[in-house]
This record gives sequence, C-alpha cells and structure tokens, in this order.
Amino acid sequence: MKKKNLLRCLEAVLFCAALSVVLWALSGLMERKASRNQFGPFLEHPQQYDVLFFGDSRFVNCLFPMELWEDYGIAGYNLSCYGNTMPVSYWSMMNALDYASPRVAVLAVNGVRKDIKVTGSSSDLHTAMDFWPLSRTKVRAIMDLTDDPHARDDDGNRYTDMRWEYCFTLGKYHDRWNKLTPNDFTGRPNVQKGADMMVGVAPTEEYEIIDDDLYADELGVGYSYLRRTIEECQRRGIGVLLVHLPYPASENAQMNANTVGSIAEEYGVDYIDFVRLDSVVDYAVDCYDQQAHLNPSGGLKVTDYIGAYLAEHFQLEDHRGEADYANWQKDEQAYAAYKRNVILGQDKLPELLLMLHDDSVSASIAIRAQAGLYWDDQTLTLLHNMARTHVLEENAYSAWSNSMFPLEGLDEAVWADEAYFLGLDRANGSVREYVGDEAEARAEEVFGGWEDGKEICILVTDPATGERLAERQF
Amino acid sequence: MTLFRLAAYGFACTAAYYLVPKRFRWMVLLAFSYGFYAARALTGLPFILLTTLTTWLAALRIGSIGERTKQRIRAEKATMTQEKKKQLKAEAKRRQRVWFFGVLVLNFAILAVLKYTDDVLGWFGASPLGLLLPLGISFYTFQSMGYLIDVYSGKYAPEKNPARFALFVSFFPQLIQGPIGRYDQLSPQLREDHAFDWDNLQRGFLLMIWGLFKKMVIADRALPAVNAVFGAQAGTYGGAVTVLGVLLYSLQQYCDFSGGIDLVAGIAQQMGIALAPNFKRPYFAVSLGDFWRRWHISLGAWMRDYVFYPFALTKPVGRLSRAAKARFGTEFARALPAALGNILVFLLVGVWHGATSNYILWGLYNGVILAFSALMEPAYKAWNTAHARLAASRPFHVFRVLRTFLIVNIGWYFDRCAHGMDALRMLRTTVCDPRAGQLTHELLKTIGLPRADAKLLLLCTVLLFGVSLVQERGVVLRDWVSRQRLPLRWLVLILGIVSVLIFGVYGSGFDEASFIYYQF
Repeated sequence: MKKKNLLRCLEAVLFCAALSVVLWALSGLMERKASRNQFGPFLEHPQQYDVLFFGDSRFVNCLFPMELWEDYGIAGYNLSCYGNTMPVSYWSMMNALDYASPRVAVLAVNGVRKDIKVTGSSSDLHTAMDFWPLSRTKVRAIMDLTDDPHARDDDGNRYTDMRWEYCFTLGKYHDRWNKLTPNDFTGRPNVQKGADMMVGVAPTEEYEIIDDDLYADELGVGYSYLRRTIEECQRRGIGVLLVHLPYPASENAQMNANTVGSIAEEYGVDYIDFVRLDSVVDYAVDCYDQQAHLNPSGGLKVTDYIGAYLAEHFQLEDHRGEADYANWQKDEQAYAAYKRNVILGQDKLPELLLMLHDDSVSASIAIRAQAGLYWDDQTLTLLHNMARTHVLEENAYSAWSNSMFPLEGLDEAVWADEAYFLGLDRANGSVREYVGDEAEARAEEVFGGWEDGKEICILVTDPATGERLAERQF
Repeated sequence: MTLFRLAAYGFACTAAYYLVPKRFRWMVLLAFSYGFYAARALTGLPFILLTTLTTWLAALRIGSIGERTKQRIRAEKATMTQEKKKQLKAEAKRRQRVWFFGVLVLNFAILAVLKYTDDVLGWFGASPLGLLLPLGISFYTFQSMGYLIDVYSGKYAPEKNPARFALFVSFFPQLIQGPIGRYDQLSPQLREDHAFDWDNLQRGFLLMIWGLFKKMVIADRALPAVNAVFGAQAGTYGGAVTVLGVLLYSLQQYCDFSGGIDLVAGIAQQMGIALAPNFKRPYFAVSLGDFWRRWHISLGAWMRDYVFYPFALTKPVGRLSRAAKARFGTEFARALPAALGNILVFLLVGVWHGATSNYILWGLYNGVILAFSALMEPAYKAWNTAHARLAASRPFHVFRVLRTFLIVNIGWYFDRCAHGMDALRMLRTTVCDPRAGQLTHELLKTIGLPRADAKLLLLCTVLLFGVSLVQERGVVLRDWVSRQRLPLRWLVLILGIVSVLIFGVYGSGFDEASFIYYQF
C-alpha cells in the first residue's frame, strides 16, 4: 500500500512537472512579443554589457547602442521602454543587475517630475517587465510598482488586481489564440540592442532656456526613485550618468532638470542636460512627432554625444576585435542590414532625406532648376542635415557644433534657381556639389535626367562597393 | 481569477485536510469555511452566525422537549392516564411549535427583508436602500430550515455540537450557489474521517476542470452576446437575433450554474465528500416535470419535501380534492393537489429569484404548465397506451426532448428579461418580426461574439452535447478516464487545463462574470 502511494506521489510530481513545461511553452507562445523582441537579446549575453541605459520612450528612440559599438567599441544595451516612469526604470535596473555587471548605468531623467509609479498604460508595463524571468526581484518590482490600491490603467482595471498577470503572462495574453502570427512562433528579436528607430519628421515648437538656479518646488515619487537608483549604483560601484534628453522643455520641466542637476552634484555623479545644450539637435528636422521624440537623425547625434562622453569620462574599454565579443560582429551585420532596410524602405522625400543623414550609405542627389522644393525650408534643412557632421569642439561637453548649414552650393543653387547636384561619399567623407550646367550634366550622367514632373533624383549607394541600392525620383 | 482563487482555496483546504490528524479534519473544514466566508463577505458573517445559532438552539430545544416528554411518559407509564399523556404530548408539541415557528419565521424574515426590501420599495417608487445580500444566504437558510423541519418532524435527532452544526451550515464549497444539502446526508460525511484517496483526488480534479471549462469557456464567452440582446432597446433586434439570444442564454445559464456546481462538487470530492447532485443533463428532459427533476435538483427536492407535500397534504387541499372528486371524477381529484402544489411551488421559486414581475410570470408559467400536465396525465397515459409503438420510438423521444426544450426556452424569456412586459414584447417579436437578415457575422461581432469566438463557442457546445449524450447513456466519463493508462490520463487532464487557461474568459480586459446564482 505504501509503495502504491509512493508511486502515485511520484506520478503527481511528474504530472505537475509536465504540466509546468506545457504551460511555460504555451505562455511563451501566447505572449505578446513586444517585450521579448525588444529586450530578449539582452539575456543572451548579459555579462558583456559595460553600459546599460534606462529611461522612457525618448531614450528608446534616441540611444542606439550599436552605433556606440561601431564608433567607440562600447558594449551597451538600451533597457528603456515606452511609458517607463522613474520607478519602472529603477526596477528595470534592479532586474538587470541580477544578470549583468555593468560599469555604468545611464539614466534618462525626463520623467522625474511624474509623481506616479506607473502610467495608465498597463501594456507598457508589460513590455518593460514581461521578458524578465520570474524571480524574487521581479516579484518585488511588481508588488512595489502596483502597490497603490487606487491606481488603475486606462481601461479602468486596478493594478493590484493585475499583479499576477505580470508574473504569469498567460493570464494576460491567453486570449491571443486567435491572433497568433508566424512571428509568434519564430520571434523577431530586436537587432538594435533595445533601441527603436522611429522615422518621421515633425517640426516642434521653440522654447526658452531658463536660468539654471530655478528649481522645482515639489519633489514627488520620481525623485525618490532617482535617489534610490543612484544610491544602489554607488553601493555596487557602478558609475552613474544622468541625462536630460533634448526636447522643447517647459519652464517647469527645466526647473526639474535643474533640480536633478543639484541632486547629481550632491551625489557626485555626471549629468548632461541636453535641453540646455541647444545645438546638439536641430528641432526643425530631428523629431518625429509633436511630442518631440527624436527621429534617427536626432538620435544619432545624441548617441554620438553620449558615446564621446562615456569614452572620455568612464574609461570604457573598446571591445571591438576581442574574441569574447565575436558575437557582436554578427550583431553588427544584422544591425547594418536592418538599418539599410529602413533607409531603403522610405518612399517619401522627407523621410528618405532624413535617413540619408546616416553614414552607412552614400548618396547622390540632383535637383532640377527652378524646382518648387527650393521654396520648402524643411526640405532644404533636411538636405543640409544629410551633410552635417557631429563636430566635437574644444570642450565637447560644453559646446557642440552641428555644422548647421554645410552645403554652400545648395544655397547658391537656391539663390540662382539653378540645377543642383550633390555627391555624398561616406567611404572617404567627401561632399561634392555642382550648380547650374555642371549639375545638369552630372544629373544626366548619373540619372539620365529627371522624369517628367519630378524635381529631385536620389541615388543611394553602398559606400564600400559603390553598388546602386536604390534610386528614387520625387 | 475569482474561480481560480476558489479552486486554489479548494486545493489548500484539501491539503490541510489530509495533513492534520483525522480527528481534527472536520475542524479544518470549519476553519476554511469561515475563512472563506470572512474573506468574501465579512459583513455577512453576523447573519450566518445568527442563522446557525438560532437553528442549532431551536433544534436542540425541540429535541430536548420531545425527549424529556418521552422520558416522563416512560417513567410515569404505570400511573399516567391516557388523558394526561395526551396533555403532556400536546404541551410538548406546543412548546416545540413555539421554537420551530419562531426560528423559522425569524430566518425567512431576515432572508425576505434583505432580499425583497429594495424590490418592494421599487413598487412604490421609493429609492432602494441598497441592502447587501449576505453571501449564500438563500442556500444556507434553506439548508438550515430543512434541518429544523426534519428535527421538528422527528426525522432525526438534533446535532448537539454547535461547531459541527456550524460546519454543516457553512461548508464553503456549497455556500456560493448550493447545492442545498440535507443534514442526514451531508453531516455524516463532514464528520467522517476520510482516508486519503488518490482516486477521489483525480476524479474531483477532473470534475473541477470540467466545471471551469463550462463556466469560463462556454458560459462567460456567451455572456456578452446574451447581455447585448437582452439589454438592447426595444425594436433593435428582430426575432431571429432574439431567438439566438435566448438560445445563448439557455447555454450560458446551464454552463454557469452546472459548471459552478461541478467545480465545488469536485473540491468536495477531493476530500471524499459527495455533495447532493444538482444537475442531470436537463436539456435531455422529455417533459417540463422531467426538466425540473434534472435542473437545480436540490432546490426542487427541498421544495418537494418542505412545500409541495406539506401543502398537498393539508386539510383544505384534501377537502377541495374530495369536492372535486364528486364533480370531476377520481382521476381529476387525485391530480388536483399535485396541480395546485406545482403552481404554489413554482410561484415561490419565481419569487425566490426576485420579487419582480418577470420572475413571478416565469414561476406561474412553469407552475401552470406543470399543473395542466398533472391534470392531463390520465389522458396522456391513455394516448401512450393506444400508441405504444410510436410513444416508445426514438423519433418520438427526440420530439419530446425538443418540445420540452422549446417550452423551457419560452420560460427563459421571463427569467432573463428585467420586466415581464419586456419578455412579452420579445416573445411577440420572435413570432411576428423575425428579421432573419440581421443574423450576420457583423452583427455577431457587434453583440460581442466575433467570428473566432462564435466558432469556438459552437465547437465547445458540440463537445458539451457529446459528453452529455455519452453521460445520458450511462457512461461515467471520469471512471473511463481513471481506467486509462497514464499517458492518456495525463493528456486528458493537460488538455482540460490548457483549454480552460487558453480559452477561458478571465484576466484584465475581460468581463469575468460571477455565478448567476451567486445573487440569489
């Protein structure tokens, strides 16, 4: 009898194990893949990362770790997420530190003034949390972030009631059985190390920079988590860099940024306030929406700035070529292919011009004489933006030049209303401009002239091989 | 999530039940039952305590009065005159009656006040008081009063231990929506020291999964469409959509109620306790009477034993029956008490659902049909005898099943509508304004049943029908599963769990509904 009971016990244990495996597999299948796609690659080699980036949507859209790798050999992962508040960023970091040992944590402080732990988007919190394996830290994170019994999401669901769905995602996503796509079976991991390029051009409003001695009056929950983040990093010997990302900040937002500055000083940590460095991005062309989230052009400028700062201030090693980082070569190729697809996938003039700021492709552009687009300021700025280089002046950290209007020939062509030809060769960094008859001849040679009704011809080529990748006329 | 919590609570109780020494097991059940009640409805705790204490005390007093009288008569047998004996018995009965009716009236009055005050205020246009109905008050009141009546009528001796009686009243699996247990069947099981039994565990678990499947996958998926059809403004939908709504309600209500019963019966079975059966595939019934012997069986049995028979056996009904015999004949006179009893019972059942016109009409509808059937019984029998072959044929059986299904579904119009007039309006639409063209996929989507959900619901209904058909033929599917080899047993269990977890309606963004009978 005892033996029989023992066998039944064993059967029950094995059944529970088999059931757990089935549920685990189903949970992974049914899950909305946003979180796993964006952050899943981080967990493949978490010990490789020297720098981790935490913040909200602004940081997701403007910090491209693969660019840091290509330019500085810095191994980083962007763990920022849409809708993150400071508390969510703090808990993202705490979860990350269960797996990784970064040397620097870069924290975007744009959301510091929010006096809430979670926003109304329960879906964003899922994106930030779903991919972390179930652990004590994850459970602590969920319990802490959802501890307000009155906090509800936009659909009116109480966060306290949804806690279990953050730990066991099948509870949240089980109803996706009729929405599964092939991607749910194969996955589509993010090749940008957590970043997300958003292509678009939306001019934003002007803003006035306020005095740096004006501070915020009320310091809410965002500040307490800012302090907790800094203190945790310092306790673990992790360097901290706080960044206030560029956007047309209100007076109140700038006062909060100044307050962060004083906190950074208090703890002796580094702080970059991009809102005060108003020459890093060009708000006329570097944002993709009215909320002034940066597009890839603006993002590349901010990434480059932060890369230079990290390289100089934190003595991070250049891991390029190291055998332990051989996998990054594959990542680099995947990123390059992805970026090229994004560039070549643009079929509207502003977006294509915007993406040609990227130095991974060369471009030739011919504009017809008396072209109507000569009267369009945005197009002209986007053309200038293509040739802009990120020039670090004497003291890169107090001055930064965007070489604002580098195309003299373009100005001349606009003035004379003549044809214009631009050759951007990213292999050697040369910029060649032709105006008038010379431009017409080059256009004829490269494009065979303009099609009827078209004003601008664009040829995108591979800088290394000269291969013609795409040709468009608008 | 609520259902998963209930299931998890059941597992926790089962684990604790078997982990403690046998003599303490009933105390574990009591602790878990009161823990459940306190966690779900703390404000209702005084009410269940009051019912428990008053019923226990009254039964005890009734028992002791009867016992003392018997002892006295026995002791003074030699000297006591017949007249004195009668006098003593009458005196005892009078004192018992005071306790009996006092507690009976008190408890039903509490139920009536809490349940009907707002409805009655509504009749006079006054604002409702918003009295909260304590969890399971109908079920534990019926159960306790059944016990009191049985003790009063001398069916069994009263329970001396108040804690054991409290467990009988509050046993948590049956507290939400029944079944209404009988003391002589349930209480011995609650005090019995059940040995740990794997078979019970597995069979109970299977029943829980099946219950969750019915409730979460079928009932709650049909719910939005039912609400949309019955909540729509008059004239929005034609007869075709209305019929669809009624059929979906038929499905939803059955799966909601019977699924919940399966869940709690499964929990109880894991501890070796068999709850009273409450459903026996009611939609296979061949007559309305048969339907009510298969639907909410424990309430039907309660009504039969404590209302129907006592009423039918009263002197006025007897006199009426005798008078009818002289005028309409023996057969009619014999059927008359049953006919009147049915009308009374269903009127009461209707009022129990709510003191609103729709429930009263629903009760009368069922009662009158059953009364008519009772009176026509001799004619049916004669017809069946004359057409014995046809009456025994399968097509005729199917016809009777479909006829009963139709009659029941007409009743559901009254059960589901908020007012009697709404039900009559919808019935008229069904007959006079079918508008079949409204039945499109677009409409299904609008009423909360998009194509994929509709297909899933249809598939699950076919599965439910198949399982019910097999059960109707006497196959106990859980026995069959238990006899299978391990891989197949595991497959069935895992498929069941996965179906509930994937296709169940639960979690944020879904309208996870409470049990329909929770409100009664």
